[in-house]
Amino acid sequence: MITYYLKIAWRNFKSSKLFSLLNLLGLSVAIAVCIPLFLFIGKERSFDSGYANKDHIYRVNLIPHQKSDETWGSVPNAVAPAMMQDIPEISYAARMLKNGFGTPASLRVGQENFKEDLLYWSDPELFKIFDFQFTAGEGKNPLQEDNAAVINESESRRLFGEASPLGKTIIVDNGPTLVVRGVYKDLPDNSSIDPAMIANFKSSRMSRSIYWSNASYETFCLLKPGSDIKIVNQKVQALTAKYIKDPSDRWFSLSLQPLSEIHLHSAQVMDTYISRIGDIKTVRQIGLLGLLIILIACINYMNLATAKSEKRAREVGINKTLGATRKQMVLRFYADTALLAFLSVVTGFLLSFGSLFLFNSISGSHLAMTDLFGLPTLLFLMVIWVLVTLLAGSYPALLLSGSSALQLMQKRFHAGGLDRVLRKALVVVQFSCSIVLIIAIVIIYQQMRFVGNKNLGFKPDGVLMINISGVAKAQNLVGFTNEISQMPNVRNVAFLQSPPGFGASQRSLHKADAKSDLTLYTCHADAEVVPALGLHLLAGQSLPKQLAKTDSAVYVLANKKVVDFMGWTPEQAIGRKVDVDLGENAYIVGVVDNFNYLSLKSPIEPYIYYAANDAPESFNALMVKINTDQLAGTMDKIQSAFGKDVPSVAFDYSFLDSHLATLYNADRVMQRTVLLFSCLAIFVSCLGLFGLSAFMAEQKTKEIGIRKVLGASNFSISRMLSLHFLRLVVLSIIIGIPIAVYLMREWLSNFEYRIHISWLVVALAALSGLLIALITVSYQSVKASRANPVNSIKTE
Amino acid sequence: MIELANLSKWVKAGGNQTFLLKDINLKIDKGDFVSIMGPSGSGKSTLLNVIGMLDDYDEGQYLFDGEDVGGLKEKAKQSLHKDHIGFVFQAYHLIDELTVYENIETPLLYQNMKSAERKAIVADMLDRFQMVGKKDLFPAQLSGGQQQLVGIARALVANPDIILADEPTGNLNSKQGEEIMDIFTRLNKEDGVTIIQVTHSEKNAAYGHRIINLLDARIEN
Repeated sequence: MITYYLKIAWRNFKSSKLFSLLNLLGLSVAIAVCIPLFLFIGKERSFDSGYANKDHIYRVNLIPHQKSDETWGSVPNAVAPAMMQDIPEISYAARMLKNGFGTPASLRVGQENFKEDLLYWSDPELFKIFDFQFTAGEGKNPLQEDNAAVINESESRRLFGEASPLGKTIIVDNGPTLVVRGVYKDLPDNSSIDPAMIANFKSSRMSRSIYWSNASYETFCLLKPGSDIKIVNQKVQALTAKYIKDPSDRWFSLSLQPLSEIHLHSAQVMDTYISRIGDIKTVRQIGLLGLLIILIACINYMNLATAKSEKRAREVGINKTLGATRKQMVLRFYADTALLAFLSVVTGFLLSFGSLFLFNSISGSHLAMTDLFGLPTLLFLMVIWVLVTLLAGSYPALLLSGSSALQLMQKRFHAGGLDRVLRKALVVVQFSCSIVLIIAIVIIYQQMRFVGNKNLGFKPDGVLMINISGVAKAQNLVGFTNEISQMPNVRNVAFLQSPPGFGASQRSLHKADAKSDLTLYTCHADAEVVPALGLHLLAGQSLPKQLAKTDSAVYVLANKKVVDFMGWTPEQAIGRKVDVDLGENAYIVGVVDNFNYLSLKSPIEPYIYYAANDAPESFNALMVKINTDQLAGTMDKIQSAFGKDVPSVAFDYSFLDSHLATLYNADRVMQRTVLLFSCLAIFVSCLGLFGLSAFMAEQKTKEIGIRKVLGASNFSISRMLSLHFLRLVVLSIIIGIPIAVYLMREWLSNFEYRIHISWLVVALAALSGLLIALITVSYQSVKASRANPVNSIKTE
Repeated sequence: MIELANLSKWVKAGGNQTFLLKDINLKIDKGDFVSIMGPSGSGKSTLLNVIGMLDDYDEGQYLFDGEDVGGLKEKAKQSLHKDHIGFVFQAYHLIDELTVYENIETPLLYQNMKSAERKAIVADMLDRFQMVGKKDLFPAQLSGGQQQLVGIARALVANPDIILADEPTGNLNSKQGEEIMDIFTRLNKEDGVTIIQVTHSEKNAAYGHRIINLLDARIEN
């Protein structure tokens, strides 16, 4: 019986080519799109699942009292030892400090310098918490000695080639000398922690003082199996009260976050060194988009199948008189759909090699082609096959099998008009989705352009950032800065603690009569900061060029937010003392206009540049404003000067404007993904509309013939046929616009600086949707209207 | 075999009751050959559909082999008609996507017959109607008369007791029509198949043992 059904299904497939091809194309494109999405979601959900202790590992997070809506992923360095000592449920706790609080390290191996982004200083307990696989060296307790370090296999190849790295030395940032004691297998792509090199925390400068103030140490702990997380959390909370004697210094509370939640539920967590961060929202959005495309393709099938059902009704009727039961008829229709769905799954699978490549390149993911042959993919395809068969096949199957043989064999079979209403409803659903997507594309594009062109309050173009955190003494740089300052294309050279787009130090701005302090960001800088960054001075001048050796004052260049809070005009502020936790003698020497030192997603906050002898923060970056006319030549000169003057440090540079662009990477990925999806969804919708209009035109051949005999023009006929669909599209627009506007407002609310949704833009987007539909439909309408009426009348 | 007693069927349109069949009393025995005649709209096809259990009735009684059809559930009716009744239509109603062979085979599939058995019966049928050479053709490749032969072969393949034919020669020329009528006569005489046909043609009606005339939903005497 089943072969019989398949035989008929195959012949049906062949006999209605247009129908079959439209469906095949629509469904296989939808499936091809869903496969990479599925792999992406699978990978996101698999994060950190490879660790043996995964269910018992937690990260210690911090919630500052002053801003209780924030969560930080790092805590003071006293937390881990205190947890180990005080809480019996904690087996191990380990700190993971990224070198220089996140700035790349400069490694010296033999005579060569390497830049290293992924050097972490950690406790030996880390290896009890996470299982690392050691391929060389003594794996059990690799960080036994204070100066021990371990590296992963890629790092070993990069630094030492094929030679064994064991026992070799590495000098970090011209400071501590480390000895390699082990090599571990590279951690998998789906691990949240990503160290290429781990050195004993005890060798780090940061281990010299253990304190409860500076929260910069990402801390992981392993709970004993069977411990009650609630109780442990309480005990962790109690640590601050025990160890911080002065209640006014207890500025935060602690909480544990399970490892399994770190990847997808930490998008809002600040101050973490983990860079492989996903977002459950993105995963959901992407899953939803994938489902939407499958749904649209299924709707196509249902629409076309019911449109065709009037043709097939007779056949069902005959089968019923020949003794077919309802069940058998239902099975037949499912066999039809199952065959088509199967062919689509196979085609979609083949197409997915291309779509996976496309997805990787637009989203920056690294999904492997080999994943396509994995068991999960095959299971997914099976599920899709069954799902599509049930979803798309049910309506025609149940509609036709439920009607009586006599009804079915009548010349014109109508299922009480229900099928027509449903068909219209489905077209409206489908096109509403398309309209929403078209509007989304336009608004996302507008917003990203707005972000790109927004006046940041400084000029990031042509600013070269050189990482100098590896340089032990600033004096070593004098020769270098002097040399490049002489170059004709170099305009300014400024020393900075951290460039815009990177975090700065957080301090408090105190005001005598105010109840609460204001969080303020401070950045150690020099006089050249104003011209190098193109800051706009409102009053006063830049920081002093030279400080006398005995000068104990702190010179402050404040942004307008600071003086606004203090209640001064920029002019009034000059020469005033400010209390910003930088000592007693901090004076404002200049005021600059507000500028966006972070991404446009966050509001501008009080920010100061300061200059002082014995500043608490060192310089980490050189900002070199250059004339980009002969960029390559200038860069060569700068690089060779650096190599000559600072031979012990790797030349690590980037451009400020391209760095700032990376702040919107996630949004750009979102923009491109939505664009691709939307185009595909609209394409698939149009396939359906095209097919449907073809069937409608075919069904109305007789009516068209009669109308033409009665004198109707070609134009009036095609208008009649097109209008039928355009009414539905207009309805879709009415439904789609409010949904789109709502969703886009939600998305825009992520940005502190955003465009207003213009009704004109929305209307134009909707109109373009209408136009696309019109073009799709009119092909069939025009074709039908131009046919010879004699032929069309004969069809009955 | 078939007994209709005071059987009526009506439709209500705008408060008016229009009878499609009214007070039909009819007895058809096994081995009978009955022709139903009457003008268009007199209820011939409706009567045939009611007898074939494709259509319901509103009043009266219908006994099939002594069983009250009105009291049967849908499934029981379906199996009754699957086992006992074969249909022949004016418009042939062959399945376009199936070959001659497969069209004839279809009723056997619904009887859940084994493949080997099916093959034997269909081969026999093709033989009987001299269509072995055409078994792989599709309906569109056959003439009207040939299509109706396939239709009859298909109606007979499940070995029914009754053939219900709704204007079987209506779309055929007179020579093809005669051929079909000859086949019906032979089936009736040699195999004892009960035949009930609806026809417009006096000549074809004469092939039957008796003629029932319908007028305005009633049987005329």
